[in-house]
This record gives sequence, structure tokens and C-alpha cells, in this order.
Amino acid sequence: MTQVDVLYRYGVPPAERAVLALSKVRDVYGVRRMVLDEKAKTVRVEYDASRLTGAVIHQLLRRAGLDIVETVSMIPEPEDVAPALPLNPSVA
Amino acid sequence: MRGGRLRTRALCILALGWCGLLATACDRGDHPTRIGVSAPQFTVRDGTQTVDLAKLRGHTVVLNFWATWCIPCIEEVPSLVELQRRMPQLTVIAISEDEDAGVYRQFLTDNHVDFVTVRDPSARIRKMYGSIKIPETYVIDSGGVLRRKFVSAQDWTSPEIMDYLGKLQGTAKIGI
Repeated sequence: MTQVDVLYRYGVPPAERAVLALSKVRDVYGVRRMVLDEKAKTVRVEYDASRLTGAVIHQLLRRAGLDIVETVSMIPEPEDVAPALPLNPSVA
Repeated sequence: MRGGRLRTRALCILALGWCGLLATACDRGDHPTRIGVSAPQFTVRDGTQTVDLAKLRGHTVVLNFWATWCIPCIEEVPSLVELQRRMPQLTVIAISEDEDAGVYRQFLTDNHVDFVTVRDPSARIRKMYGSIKIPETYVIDSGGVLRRKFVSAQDWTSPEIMDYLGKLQGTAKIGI
């Protein structure tokens, strides 16, 4: 089993019907966990990549009625680093 | 003397540890529990179609749990259609969890699904079989015994599966 996490940002908050449909997505083999963050407007899905693909997960969410806007990178952005000082300021 | 007793005690503890390890290693608890027993009997009606499993005794049954919103489920539908076409002597039954009858009917029409399908929105039958996820498929032999469980989508026309189903029907014919 290869466990993969994917994070999507959605636009329109899901209505009750869509939330119910989303809860059913958990019934699909390979979907291990799904967390909806209403504050951040994101949905995080943990799935088994040996059974499903990212495209299938995306389609499952869209079919459930979730207005997916973008895939959010889960790799944290590098913090701003101050420009390096010259080795010998007197030379500069 | 004391050293000998300590050694015996250590050996006993080691032996007990090994026994414990062997016992847990042999039973990982991931074998389907219902295989080899009679398939739970059911009758399901959706207003258009009625399926009574008892009436299919004498036929090998491929019982598939699915829904039109489940992408892996609909990926295996064409191969189930093809399986039914190639092996008309067995019966493919698909039980859908779709709540929207219109969407379900439209899907069947658009995809020329011509095997037996019936809608069970409450997933009553799936729960009866102890399934928690879809797609899932059970093979029931002509005697009504659950012979095999397939989890996730399959290619039902793969030589391995066709061969297995063919052999199952062969054994049924000669009464094994």
C-alpha cells in the first residue's frame, strides 16, 4: 500500500446535499481518510495510491458536488532568507 | 545449580515468547470470514427490477456492489458487461447504492448495461454481506455458497478470473 495525501481548495462551500455525497466518498475502496476544513476551505484526502489515482480522487470530489478551485501544495514554502553578506565587506 | 535453574527459566520465557509470536503471525485476521458459508439470502426491489437470490440457486452468481458516483466502480462496469456476454450461463447481479433513480437509469442506458442491476440506496444488502466499501464483488457458486470476495475494481475478462469462474462452473456441473 502506498499512502498519499492530497489537498484541494474549494470555492463555494458545499451544501448539505454535497456534504452527504462527500461522506459517501469514504465508502470507496482506497479512500482512507477525508478531512474538510471549512475555515481554510480545503479538503484533505488520504488515499491508497496502489488502488486509486489523484485524478480519480479529484473526480470523486467533483461528482459529489464540491467546487474544487485548485490543488494545494503540501510542501511548505521555504521561509524568506536574508541575502548573504559578502565574505569580506572591506573588499566590496 | 542456580545458573542451571536460571537458564531453564530463560529458555521457558523464550519458548513462550516464540509461541506468542507464532500465534499472532499465523492469524493476521485479514481473511474474509464469510467465505465457504452460505451466501446471505435477500430479495430487493427498486420499482423497476426485483432480485431474489434464492431463485438463482443452480447458477454461479457474480454479485457486485457499486454506485454511479463511484469512479472505480464504473471503471469495471464494461468488463462486467463483457463477462456476462462471454459467460451467459452465469448471472451477474449489480446492486447500486445510488439514491437518485434518474441518474442511475440514465447511466444504465448510456453505458448499455444489460446485466441485472437493482438499486438499494440504503445499502441494506451490502451491510448484510459485511462489506464496508465499494466496489466489492462476491462469487456465489451454484449451491449458494460464497466462494470468493474481490475488493476494488477488477478486469472481469482477465484470463485468471475467467479461468476461475470457468472452473467453478465446471465443478458445479459434475456436482463437486
